[in-house]
Amino acid sequence: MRDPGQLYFATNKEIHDLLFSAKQKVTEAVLLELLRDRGIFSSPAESREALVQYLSLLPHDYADVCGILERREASKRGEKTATISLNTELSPDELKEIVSEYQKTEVQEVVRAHKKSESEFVMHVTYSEFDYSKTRLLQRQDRDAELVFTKVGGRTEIRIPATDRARAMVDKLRERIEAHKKAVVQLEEIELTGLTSAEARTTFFTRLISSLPDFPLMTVSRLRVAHSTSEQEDDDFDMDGDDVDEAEEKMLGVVENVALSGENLVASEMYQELKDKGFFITSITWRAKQNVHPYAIIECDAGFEDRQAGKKFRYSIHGALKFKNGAYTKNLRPVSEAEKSTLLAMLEKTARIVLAQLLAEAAGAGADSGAETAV
Amino acid sequence: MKRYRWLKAQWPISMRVLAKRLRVKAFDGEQVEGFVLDRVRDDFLDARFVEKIEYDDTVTDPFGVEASFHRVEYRSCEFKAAVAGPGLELVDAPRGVQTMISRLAEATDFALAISPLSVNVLDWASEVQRRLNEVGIVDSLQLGAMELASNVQAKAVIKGSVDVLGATQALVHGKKHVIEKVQIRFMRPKRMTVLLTNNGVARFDQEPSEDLLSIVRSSLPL
Repeated sequence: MRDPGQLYFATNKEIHDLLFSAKQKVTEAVLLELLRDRGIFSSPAESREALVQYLSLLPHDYADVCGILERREASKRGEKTATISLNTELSPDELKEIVSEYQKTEVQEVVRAHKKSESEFVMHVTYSEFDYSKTRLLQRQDRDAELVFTKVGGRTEIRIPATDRARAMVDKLRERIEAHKKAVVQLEEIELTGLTSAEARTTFFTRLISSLPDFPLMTVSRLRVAHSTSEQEDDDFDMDGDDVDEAEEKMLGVVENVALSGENLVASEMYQELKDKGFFITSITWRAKQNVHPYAIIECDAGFEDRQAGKKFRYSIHGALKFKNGAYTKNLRPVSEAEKSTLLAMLEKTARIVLAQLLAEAAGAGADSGAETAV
Repeated sequence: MKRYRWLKAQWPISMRVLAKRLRVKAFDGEQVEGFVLDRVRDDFLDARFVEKIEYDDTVTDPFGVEASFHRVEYRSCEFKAAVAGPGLELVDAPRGVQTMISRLAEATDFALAISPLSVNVLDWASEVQRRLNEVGIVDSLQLGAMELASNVQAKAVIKGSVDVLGATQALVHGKKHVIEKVQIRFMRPKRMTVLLTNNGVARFDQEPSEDLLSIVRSSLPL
């Protein structure tokens, strides 16, 4: 039988689209380099279009096409992380069994898994994503997701990339875990659904940034705030004349969310005004300076994908400024994988603690007001 | 030389409560940073924010031998928080005051609003002279964004041994401009210069007396 791989080929038009569509990655310099690799020297003054046109007409073998695709690959640095907690304890051996069952049914995905330590288990999934709006060679994109399972007390915490696909994987895994454990397993994400007031939601973020152990807050450089529309809905039952007011209100300029960037934003007048008007924080980027050796400054962000509902908490570590010979490096450097995972774990833990505190406070306040009304 | 910078700060809590909260973050030499309170009154407080920086400095001698020294540095920023006036006064502030402002924001449960001032320096300068009851001369002045033609702007420093305001008027001649800095030279009660800038900074060539400082502070057009 003939090799089915030979049935597929890329036309010059497809290669043209592939080269031409990534202006940021496949620059003029890259195109000139690709030509130089073939022993062709082209004028640096040549336009990008002409270079692409010329290059796409040359023969390309499989490795050439792969090489171009590789150059276009999106970097994973900006990827955000999320965390899900399961109310059951899973040992790495149990997980191994579950993951191999998972692989049997999910044949489209390639799963590799290994035990990292007694309490940690890593599952690496490679899958394809399809986007039919792209040029043909780019319709199928290979992605990978790393799911890290950590056993914490009687629970299991899973660190996943903040994508819908990764969330779906966890859902599928849960079904298998339930079958395995013969018990209902609850998924818990960090959500602010229990905290409806704008103030409490903002407090979640302010406490998070000010209570990271060993990493006191330095500055807040980006801030996104949204207005709580739910409060407006509550006012509906007012008087009859209100309808007119509401119609008028809709015609006025309405600000639903604002993104701020600068320095020390939480202490800015603008932010304080917005806060007084009922806006609450939905995502935040801040820098924190480590107060123990090596005194690095890290930049992190945290926020909710579903801003208005306060659901799908996601976060990332942008990088770090290293302290060397009494001065900090100018630009953010990426942090090593090991450092990143300890920082992410710290962020997750703090977020959970803060949320639990706030929920307890809200419950306490609710009980108090309930008691008052009873009297 | 002494440099004072004023920032507009709205304190959501009283000075006594603020002092109490800053005491929780007090610096006693052990921590990496903290506050040292100098004076607390009902309407203001004087304090310092101290940062301790420790690092190993490595030097290589001409023979390639590396030597490492452990160094400890202290960076401190003196400030005055007040209920009246602009609200926050920084004395000889270092470049980065972000950490300090973050700590102050934390102490006020993130309800503190701080913003830079934007003042008309000429108004400020004339008010200082009026309150001092002393007329000084403006011996140098910095102009910014003077529109020479459409989309052409000039930045100029005007200096003189006599008052430069008249000459500046002739130069500006109705063109759009911003006066960024003004330096006033006083002959009495003693020789001294005060530099005022449009972002609320006053620089004295010598340590100012408490009276002079309070005049400059209260003359700030807010």
